[in-house]
Amino acid sequence: MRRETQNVLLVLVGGALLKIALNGSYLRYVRPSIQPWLIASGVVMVVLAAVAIVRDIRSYHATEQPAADHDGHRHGSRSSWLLVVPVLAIFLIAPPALGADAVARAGGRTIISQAAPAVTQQGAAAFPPLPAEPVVPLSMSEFVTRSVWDATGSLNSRVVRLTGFVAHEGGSTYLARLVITCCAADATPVKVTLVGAGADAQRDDQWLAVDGRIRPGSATQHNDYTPTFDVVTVAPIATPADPYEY
Amino acid sequence: MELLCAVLVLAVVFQDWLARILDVPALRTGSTVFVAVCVQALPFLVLGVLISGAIAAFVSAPLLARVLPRNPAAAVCVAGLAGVALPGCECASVPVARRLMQQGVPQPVALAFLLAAPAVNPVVLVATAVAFPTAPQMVLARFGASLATSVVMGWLWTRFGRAEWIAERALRAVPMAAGRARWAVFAETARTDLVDAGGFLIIGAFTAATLNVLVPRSWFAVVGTHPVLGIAVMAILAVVLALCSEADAFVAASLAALPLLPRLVFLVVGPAVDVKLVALQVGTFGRRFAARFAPMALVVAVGAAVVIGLLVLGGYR
Repeated sequence: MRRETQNVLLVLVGGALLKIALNGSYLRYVRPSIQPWLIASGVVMVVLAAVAIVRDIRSYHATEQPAADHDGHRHGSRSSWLLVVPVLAIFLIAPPALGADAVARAGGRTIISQAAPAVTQQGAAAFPPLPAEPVVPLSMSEFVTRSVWDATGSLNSRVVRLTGFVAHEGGSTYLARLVITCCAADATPVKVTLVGAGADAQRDDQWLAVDGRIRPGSATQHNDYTPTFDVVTVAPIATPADPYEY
Repeated sequence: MELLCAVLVLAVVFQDWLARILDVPALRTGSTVFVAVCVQALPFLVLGVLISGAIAAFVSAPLLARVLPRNPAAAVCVAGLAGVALPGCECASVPVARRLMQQGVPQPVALAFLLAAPAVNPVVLVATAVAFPTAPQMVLARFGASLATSVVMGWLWTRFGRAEWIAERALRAVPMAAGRARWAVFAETARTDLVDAGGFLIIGAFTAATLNVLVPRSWFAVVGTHPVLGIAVMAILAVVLALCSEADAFVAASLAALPLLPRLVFLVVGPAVDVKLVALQVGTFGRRFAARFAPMALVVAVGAAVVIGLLVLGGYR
């Protein structure tokens, strides 16, 4: 691959990183704290390419020879062409955040199902009381964690608002969310079973804000600690900017 | 250059068609994971090539020789412990290890550093402690087993390794420059490393995304009680999932149905051998090197994890 082509590719890759870091779509792939790293590495790529281009032009004018021709770095760099793949993926396809398909692929594994044996040995924990509002907005992780381990029963008979996407699996309808620690490759689902208020009619990957109550004692080892959520109201919403929980 | 333009124009023309064939759930999930692995790994690769460029431009071979012990066995230990100082994932350590070799650091020493840096740095150890709040001995076991892997691999390479396994281009030294020319060496080295390693990182990310989608997670569930099967499956998963070393502790922690020992194997093998790392090693050091180094590292990592795990964790549980 020629030097000029390499430099253009570097500008494109750096530009792609800057684009997703600045327009917020990086949140589909990695956690928010990566943003400064993405911006820094995008800038470094563009600067390295720019420096090489400027030096090549200067030395071309001086000696009619590219600056670093002596290093003969042409062999074995055919693989550099592959750098164009993520550029095309980001600019043209812009893959969406993970959704119902990733939940199905996890095969019943959730943040709770696998952690339960270790933690139930310690016995149930006391959670701080919920705020006194009539409808309590909770993250999916917190809701499910409380449903399994909260000895004080703070969720019982409270109306809670959960935000997530719809996933159908084995005849049940779930409201699900994916929890990531680093990037989308390590996503683990967290989910509740939706019952009532026409929740079954929603299609996969539709984002919902759901108000409802927990069915006490419904999260058991038998169902991989997936609590049942008796739905009061369902409101379809747009996909949130930050689709994952952390 | 003309080819690049043609590729870009074609891609734009066929954008709708491309987006349509990718609109299958499995392919959509795969493409998201692919971009996620790339986006996650590129900053670390950039960090790695900047350090590599800085070593090429500002750290002379005689200086490195003075810092390292003359005895190769001791130098391998020092390199393993020096890994604590590079908080990054495995993508950062490959270009740095190569540059160390170019500056005259003995190969086993540079390779010990390559294996240690992603596994024993403070960021990874803190992440492990956070992921295993009920089993703090996992941090000690991980540190010990990963350090042992890198040191043992260094010693084995001292004894059995051959210089000609590493591609000649990987070892060609950059002439030392002085004054302002050093900055030119810095920029040029970093740029070349980035372009060379970048392509192989993409191969690795692609492989990891494919396997991430194809390998059924039900594997995790069936292997729980059988020790040999559990260790083997967790070692294979560490290789094929290619998680970054800062995230793998959380994935291992979420597999609480498994005993601690196979999960320790997962944590020790992952930063030493995975598909993304092997792709980078093929690109940086050549095929002949990777074909010998990766299987050897896998065996040593599994062995170290099992021995240290039995000692620190007190058996298969």
